[in-house]
Amino acid sequence: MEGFTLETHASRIIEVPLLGQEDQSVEIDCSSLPSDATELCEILVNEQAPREFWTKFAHEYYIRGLREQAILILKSGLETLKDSESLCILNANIAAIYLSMAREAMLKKDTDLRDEQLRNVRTYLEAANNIDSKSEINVLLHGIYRILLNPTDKESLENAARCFDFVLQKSGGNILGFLGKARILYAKGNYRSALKLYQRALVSNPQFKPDPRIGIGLCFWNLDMKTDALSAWTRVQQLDPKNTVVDTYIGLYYYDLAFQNVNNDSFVQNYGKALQHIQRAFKTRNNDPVASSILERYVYSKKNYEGCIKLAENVIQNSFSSSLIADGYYWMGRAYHQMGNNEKAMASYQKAKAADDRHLLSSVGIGQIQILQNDLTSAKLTFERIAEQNQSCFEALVVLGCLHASDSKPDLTKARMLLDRAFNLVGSSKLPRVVDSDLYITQARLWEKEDTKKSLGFLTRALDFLESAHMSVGPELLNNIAVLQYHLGLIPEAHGNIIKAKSVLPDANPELSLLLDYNLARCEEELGNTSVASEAYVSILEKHPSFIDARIRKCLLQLSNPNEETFKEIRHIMNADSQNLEVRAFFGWYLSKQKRRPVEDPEVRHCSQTLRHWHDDIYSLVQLGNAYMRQAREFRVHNDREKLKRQKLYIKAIQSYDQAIKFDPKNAHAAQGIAIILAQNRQFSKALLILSKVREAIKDATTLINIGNCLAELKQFSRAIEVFETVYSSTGESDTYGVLSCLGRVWLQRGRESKNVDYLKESVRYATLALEKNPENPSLLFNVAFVQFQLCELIRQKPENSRTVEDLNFAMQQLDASIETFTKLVSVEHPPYSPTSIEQRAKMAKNTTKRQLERAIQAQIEYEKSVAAKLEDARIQREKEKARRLAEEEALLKEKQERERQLQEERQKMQEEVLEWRKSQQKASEDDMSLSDDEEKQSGKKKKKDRKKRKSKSKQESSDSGVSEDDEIPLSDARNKTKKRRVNRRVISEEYTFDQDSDAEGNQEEEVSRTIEEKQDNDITDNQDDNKELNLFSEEDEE
Amino acid sequence: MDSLLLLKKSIAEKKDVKLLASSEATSKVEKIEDAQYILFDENTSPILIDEPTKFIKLENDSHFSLRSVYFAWLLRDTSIAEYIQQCSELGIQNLTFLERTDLISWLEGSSDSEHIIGLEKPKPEGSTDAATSMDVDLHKKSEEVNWLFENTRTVSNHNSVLHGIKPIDFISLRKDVLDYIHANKATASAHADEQERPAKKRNRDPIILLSPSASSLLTMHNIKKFLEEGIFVPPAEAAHAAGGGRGPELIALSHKSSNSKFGTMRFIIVEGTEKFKPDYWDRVVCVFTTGQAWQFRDYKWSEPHQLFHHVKGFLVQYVGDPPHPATHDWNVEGIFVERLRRHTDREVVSQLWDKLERWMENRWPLWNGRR
Repeated sequence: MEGFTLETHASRIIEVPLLGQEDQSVEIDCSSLPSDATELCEILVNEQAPREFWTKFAHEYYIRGLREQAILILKSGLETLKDSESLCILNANIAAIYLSMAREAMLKKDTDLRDEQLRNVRTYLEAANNIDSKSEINVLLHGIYRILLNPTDKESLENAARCFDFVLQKSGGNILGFLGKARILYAKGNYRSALKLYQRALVSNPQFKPDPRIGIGLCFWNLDMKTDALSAWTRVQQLDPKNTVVDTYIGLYYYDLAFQNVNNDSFVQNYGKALQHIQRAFKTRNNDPVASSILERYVYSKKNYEGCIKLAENVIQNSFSSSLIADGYYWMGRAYHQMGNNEKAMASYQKAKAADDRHLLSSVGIGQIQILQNDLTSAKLTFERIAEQNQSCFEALVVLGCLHASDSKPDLTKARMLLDRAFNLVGSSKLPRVVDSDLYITQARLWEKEDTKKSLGFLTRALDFLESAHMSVGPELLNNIAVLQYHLGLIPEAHGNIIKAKSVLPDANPELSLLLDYNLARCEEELGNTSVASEAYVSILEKHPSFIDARIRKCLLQLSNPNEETFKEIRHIMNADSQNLEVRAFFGWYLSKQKRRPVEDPEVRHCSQTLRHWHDDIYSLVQLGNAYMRQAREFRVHNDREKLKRQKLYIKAIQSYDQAIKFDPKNAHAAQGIAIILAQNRQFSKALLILSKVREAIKDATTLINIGNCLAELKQFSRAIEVFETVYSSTGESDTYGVLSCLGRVWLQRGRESKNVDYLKESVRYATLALEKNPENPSLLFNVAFVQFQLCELIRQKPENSRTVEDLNFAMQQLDASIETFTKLVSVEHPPYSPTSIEQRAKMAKNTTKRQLERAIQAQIEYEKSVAAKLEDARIQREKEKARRLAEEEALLKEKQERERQLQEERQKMQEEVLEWRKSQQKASEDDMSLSDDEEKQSGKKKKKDRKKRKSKSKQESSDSGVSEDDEIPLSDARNKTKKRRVNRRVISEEYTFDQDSDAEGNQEEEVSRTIEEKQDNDITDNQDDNKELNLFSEEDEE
Repeated sequence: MDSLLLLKKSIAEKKDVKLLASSEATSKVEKIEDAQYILFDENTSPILIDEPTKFIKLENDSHFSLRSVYFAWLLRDTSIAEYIQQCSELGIQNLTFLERTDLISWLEGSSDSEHIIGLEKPKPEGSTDAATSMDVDLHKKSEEVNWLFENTRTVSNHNSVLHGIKPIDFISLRKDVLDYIHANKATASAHADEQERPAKKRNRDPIILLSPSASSLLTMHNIKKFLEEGIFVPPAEAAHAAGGGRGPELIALSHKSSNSKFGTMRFIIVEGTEKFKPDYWDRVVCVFTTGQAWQFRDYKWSEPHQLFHHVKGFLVQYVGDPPHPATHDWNVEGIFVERLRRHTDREVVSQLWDKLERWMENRWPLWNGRR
């Protein structure tokens, strides 16, 4: 490699000495080398020139681009020279030239030529290694050979790295070793280490070419030290203005800078600089893939799609970077995409993805083409894969959600979930992202049937977006918001929004005007402005007589004050549009409200006819169930056969409800019907469980009343009362549902259950309230009288010690009132029960119960008198006892004094004895026998003491017995009183037995039981379907 | 004046309508099918009852006859099914339910009917408006209404409104419904079974056939005492005790077997087979014969050998009489009764039952089904 650093094309003369003649030589001017090196070889052979001459001439040919001639010279040298050193060097030089040619072939993408050249490299490199495998030149060439063989193979790069390490160990300052290893480290992404090696190479030889500064700049760039990178590249350009490779990198710098500040004023300046550098590089070397890549974007933005495609092809053909190749294919795809050539666009996108599987944008491109080709299934798969691999790709989630939403049979759950994830990404993303209002509207439509409130929320967000962006809000959006508000019960807000929609409605739009007028009328109707609503419907129908929904609503409003025209029009609607299920539902509801019941029920017939043609019409199934249940409940059972018939009607009803649930599991009205039938079957716990769920869906008084009735049957009276009170507080003014009667009945049951007079009084109060609301209703009149009678009975049957004469007098008043009412009811036009039974009840109350009550009053009077007498006797007894106790106390006091006196005497005796004892002591000193006498005396004294104690004990015992005797007296008195009381009870009991008529009592109980049962049947509320909600209301504009 | 208006006026004024066999006012008839004319008012002339009226069928604009209209009015309180049946029987064209309802409503005072055309009536001024006019064709929709159908979406309809304001799944209630139906249908079917049970029992009793011959020793007069109590009474004596005349056509016999397999059984004894149904022959287990072949003429199997291949045969004779040749030829068992010594009857009857029971156990086809 001698002479490598010499400048090219410099004029040089090489003198070849002549063989045998020491001072003579052949001068060869290298500036005019012959094109055919054969003659030169002959000269060198003839003159037996040394090795350096062969290598010099070969180099001269090489630097002039005449590589074939250079190889020719070197091969001639191999044939001529014979020493091993020369052979090794010549082989190495040939291998080096072939390496250079292989690299060019790679750049040209000529794979076959590349492989041929690499085989040549291997041949001559092996020849060189056979001679001297430790030669530094050979090792360097081997390393470079490995890199060129497999630029991206890790193992190959490792082997190459070992080669360079070997060289550097031997010769620490070898620049080629530095550059080779740096190159490998850069490829492995170890930019920091690569930077150091490039810098060491630069320090060793600042003038070295290729310039290490380019590598330094690339390392800085990848370490995100972009300013330093620019400095390095700029320095390269200063030193070598003709170096165009660095122009590409400088252009890349400014391009990146521009797009980091898109909204900045400096964008134009930076982008312009970038294009200048790129274009200069491109002109110099038009197969530069990096420059082409940047230019293709620029050309695309100018809509020069053909130019973009050419540049993309350039990138694809000349680049070795898979990501750069993928970019090329991607932009080619975009160009074809814009030109409408979907096939080529798809092919390009797919090639981009094949080049770099992680190329996100090409995947998006594939999906978009699939949508354009109407291959929605493949498009879904594509975007699902994108969403899986890129969790934060907002666009993929949006597209995927919209694809699912637009299915003919959409999977709403999946679409909602996807769009919700997209919205969450927007909310949590740091980058500012704009969500189109259409996306909110789409999500609102998806939630519409599942969660009305949530759907309304999304529409509101769409509205907020449009308002914050100062964009015009269309009447369609306002109308849709109003419709959802209507369904959530927010009628005033809905009303306001429709008025607002009408205000922003453009002129000459009769369709939307009709829609808004109709919806406004619905709101007025719901707000109670029935006259305004009715006028609105009439106005609509004058312009559009065929608008059947408005006609139905008008008839519905007129039914509160119907005339012949109303009935005729209803029948006309049914005949004219009998295929319309909404019309059939309305007609069925209308039939169910008729009071006249022919033998063959027209409601059943109508529903059956509807179901014959539309077997899954849920409304008709529910209505049929209601009709059968009403028939069953109105059925009067007199024998087993009729009982069977009624049971069959109930079975028919529950089967209809079951079919409705089968087709529509969320049907709350069918569920309520099932609950009512179970309640009729006395399965109140099950019914209550169902109704608890139903009440969440149906916010209606009828459901609460049904719940209250079930609670009453389960004897949970307080809870039932609580439920009925709730209903009354919300509907109390008109008592539309008869809740006051329900309260009266529950209090009655509670009072009878616990025998509490106050509860029955409460029952009378509520029954009276119910009567005040509807004074003309005979049933309510009967109820008041009935409860009054029950109250009287309860008071009468109480034991004497828990009632008073006042209570009984009150009971008498109640009885008189009930008798009067029953008597009046006999002559009423439509009594709740047969006049005969009511008359019998009145007679029994008048003749039997009244007499019983009068006797009870007399007995109570006597009882209270006797109680007063007993109290007087008790008072006298207490006074006597008091006197006796005083006497006893006096006796005790005397006895105590006597005892004290005796004790005093004993003390005196003891003192005397002590004195005697002292005297005896004096005597004892004189005579021993005297001592024994004293002892005997002492023992005698002890005996006396014992006797005294015994006496005192006996006295105490006698006093105790006296006390017990005194105690016995009150006990005996109590016993005497008890006996007297018992005697009194016996007397009363005998009287009770004598007067009681067991048969009458039994009949009365039975009749009462029947009455209650019937009332219970009547009071369970029908499953009322208000048809106000059953018509087409909620038209929404899908635009 | 129009006939419909005349009818309506008569009804309003509660006048009697007369049915006439001819145009003479004196030819009154009671039944509408016999009538040819109808007279609404004494001051008007009779009207042909089959003349078409202005009450039409909307489907094909055909006119109902006055007979159909008046008959519908007469049967206005009967059910539609009965009404249609009577129309069919009398050959009168019937009105549909809606047509009849509409007619009755109009005759009772309603001011208009969609089925009546061309009837002149005074129009109050200003009463006609587009919203209530019946002349509007509801099928002809305006552009705006069509636009609404094509471009709007219904949030709730007559079915979805039944969900209530919060969707809740009630599918689990179907199990409760099944439980309810099973419990209550079981009750209903139990009642039905109770009604059917006696008939089944009665239809399965085995049958014994007696010989109708005058020379037969066992007759409908003495067979019960003989088989149940083991006491033979001569036929003439038994007939005399019963008061003469023919014996009963059918006797129900209760037999308590000494064999535990049989227990107590019920037998039907008859003499004639005129009232036999085809399936009765499967229940015949025994035939008593006097040896005369004419007895079997009307039997299912007329030939004695074939007959006694299917049923058990007994030939009853007095002890001492010469053996009847049939006992050798016909596969029948001889039963010999003492003329005078009654104390042997019980043994004879006991042996008879043993043989019959053994036959039933081994040869009677219904025995397995019975067990």
